[in-house]
Amino acid sequence: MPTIRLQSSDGEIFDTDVQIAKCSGTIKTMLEDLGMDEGDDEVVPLPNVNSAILRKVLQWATFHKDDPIPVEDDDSKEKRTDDISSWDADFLKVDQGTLFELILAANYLDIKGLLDVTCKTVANMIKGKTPEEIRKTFNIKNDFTPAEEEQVRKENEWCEENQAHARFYRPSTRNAFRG
Amino acid sequence: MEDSMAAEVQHQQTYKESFGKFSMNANGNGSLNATKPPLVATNNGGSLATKPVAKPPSQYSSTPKEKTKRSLQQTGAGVKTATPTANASAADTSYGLNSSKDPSTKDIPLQDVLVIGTHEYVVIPKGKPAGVKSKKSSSKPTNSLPQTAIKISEDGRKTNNNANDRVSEDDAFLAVASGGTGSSFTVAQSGSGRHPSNFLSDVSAGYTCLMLSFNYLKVQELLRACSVCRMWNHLGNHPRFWKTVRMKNSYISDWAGMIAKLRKNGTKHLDLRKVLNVGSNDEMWQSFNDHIGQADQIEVIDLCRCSSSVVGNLLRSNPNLRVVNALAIKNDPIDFVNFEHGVNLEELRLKSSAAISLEGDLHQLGALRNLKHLSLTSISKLGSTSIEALGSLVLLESLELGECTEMGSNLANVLTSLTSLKRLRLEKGQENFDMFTILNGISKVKSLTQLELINCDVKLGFDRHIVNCTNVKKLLLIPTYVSQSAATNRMVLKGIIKLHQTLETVIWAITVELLRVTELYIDANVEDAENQMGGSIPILKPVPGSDEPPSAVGSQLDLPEEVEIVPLKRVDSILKRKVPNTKLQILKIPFNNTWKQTMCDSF
Repeated sequence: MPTIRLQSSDGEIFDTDVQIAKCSGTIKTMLEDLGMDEGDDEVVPLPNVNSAILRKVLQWATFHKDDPIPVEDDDSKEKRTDDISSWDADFLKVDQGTLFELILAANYLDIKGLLDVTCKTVANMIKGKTPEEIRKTFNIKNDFTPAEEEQVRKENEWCEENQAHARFYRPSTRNAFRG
Repeated sequence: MEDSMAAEVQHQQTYKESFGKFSMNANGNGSLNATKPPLVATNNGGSLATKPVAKPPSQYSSTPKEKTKRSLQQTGAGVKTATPTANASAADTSYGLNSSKDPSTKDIPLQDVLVIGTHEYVVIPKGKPAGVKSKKSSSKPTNSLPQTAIKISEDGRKTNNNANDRVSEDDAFLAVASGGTGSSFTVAQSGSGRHPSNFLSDVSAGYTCLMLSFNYLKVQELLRACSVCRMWNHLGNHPRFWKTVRMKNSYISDWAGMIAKLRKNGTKHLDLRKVLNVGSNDEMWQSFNDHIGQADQIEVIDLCRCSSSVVGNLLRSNPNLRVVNALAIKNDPIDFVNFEHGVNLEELRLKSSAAISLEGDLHQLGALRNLKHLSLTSISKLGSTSIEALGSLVLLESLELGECTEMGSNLANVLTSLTSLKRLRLEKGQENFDMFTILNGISKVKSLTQLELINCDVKLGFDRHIVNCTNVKKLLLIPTYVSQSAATNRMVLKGIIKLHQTLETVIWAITVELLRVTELYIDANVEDAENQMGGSIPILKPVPGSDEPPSAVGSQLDLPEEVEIVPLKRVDSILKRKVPNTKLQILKIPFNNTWKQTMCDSF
């Protein structure tokens, strides 16, 4: 099976199955545009991804290598976040730093499926929480002045969620990423 | 005053130098600090000391004036928001390690405020009373240090961290402080080589992550996110998240507030389908009509269950609308009062759960000269209303009409004016539905390439009229199967075969009900029913396009001599042979779904 050599920002080389590496739109384009031949010993540098994150990314890509090509985002539909597969949910039981790094890596490498599922995970950490709970979750300080806070409260309090619905869809992974 | 300012600038520079890498952060807005240093008052042993605060850059461009006004706590708050990616506390701590590198060996001012990660510390010489401003401050003296770090509670209103967090972070700091040499610390970098020295790249990373993740939030979740902090508020109001606003499963408690938000954030598309009523349905729409005019930038609105007057008022108050979909009109009769105001409307779809009658006429619709798509599928006896008004809609590209009874030459006349029409869909063409006249009208609209006939009567002679429609490339045909189904099927088959040179795509939908009836017939009359797997339909003999002798089945049945039961497989093979260049699909759908069937669903 043809492989290519990916180099992380900290210099580690990952010999990777080409098919798996091509999960990444960025690498795929690189290979095609630059005419890098398969089996070439050349190293593809990925200066924006460190080895720990690249290892995770490749683990994800290996598991998902047979997934159908994701369709382009359809803005006409509301995005769901309750459809994360159990493997992905387990895979993403990581600290927040790693989760955010995975988002950045997936964005940089153009891996739509991974970007999708990592962003959904972050969205689920936000969903169903009060602003104060969100601050706690992400260790964010409330930097509004009391006057600003009042203003923001006014601006944002025109909509209420159907409570029954909210409970039903409240993400079960609510507390999984604390600490 | 100038002198003291200069002294402070100098002091600050000393401060920066003494804090190694962290000084680079302070440089980010150092000039701001130098000109207008935020003042910190600490009550230490009765003397009032004024010191500059080192601030890492914040993405908020507050004016210097604001800054001087703010208290220490508020100034410090910027630190936290500037590092939304500051990830877990682990990352924070690593910054802390880095920035506070070896404070004990450096020339730290006697008393100062030190920002580490997301927290502020007042550094004072050991042994002095810790009477710092905030009463919530915790102090943790150590024996090995000449100095004590006192953490200031992170905001004046509330201390977010629980006791454990605080202790561990203080410990981390103290560990660093007591660690001594500084060079022995490895820099724990977070992620892809980002580093406290390029602090802003971290901000950008956090911004990117949140930007991508906010995409998945619904309106009410986005609103809550906006209330978290300044940066989130800024992000959450980004127009990209507000272009389309969907209110499914939400109550709108304050329409004025909502419309103000939509206006501010430039919403183009408001989707009110499945919105929940706070009061009565009519009260809700009253509030809607009262306020929606303010959001004149909206171009597309999907309404849910409402009366036609809501649509009329909407078109009057929002003349910029391009698309209005109201697919659950509740009043019967419907009227088109005020519809004439929608002069910029390009698409209008009106539908009700059942056929409703019309009060007045359609003349207001005739004023909508920019319409490219019109869908009117629920007005009963549409053919006996003033449909000639539609003839002025010369830009129409797509027209959907339902309840097409009583339609014939009146529609054919309208069609002659619609020279841009590409797609025509007619539903429920029954009773006095003059298919042949309409087909002749269609054959004259050269632009018309897509024809959808849903639950229309296909009578004897259909083939002779549809053969003129050589302009039609795509045909969706769901004939009425009530009686004479065998004759209908013969006509459909014959018609398609006659158009074999021009048709590109054909969908012929047969109702499940017809298949079931046919099946019952076979079961009752044929012992070898397996042959008929996959469904069969009755076709009047001779079966068009069939070169084979009639199958044995037909002759066994107790059928009128002239009807043959033909398996769909055979129908398919006949069509493949006779219409080889046409993409062909025979669908089996329940009658209830026939209304939903469209051309694009299947291909």
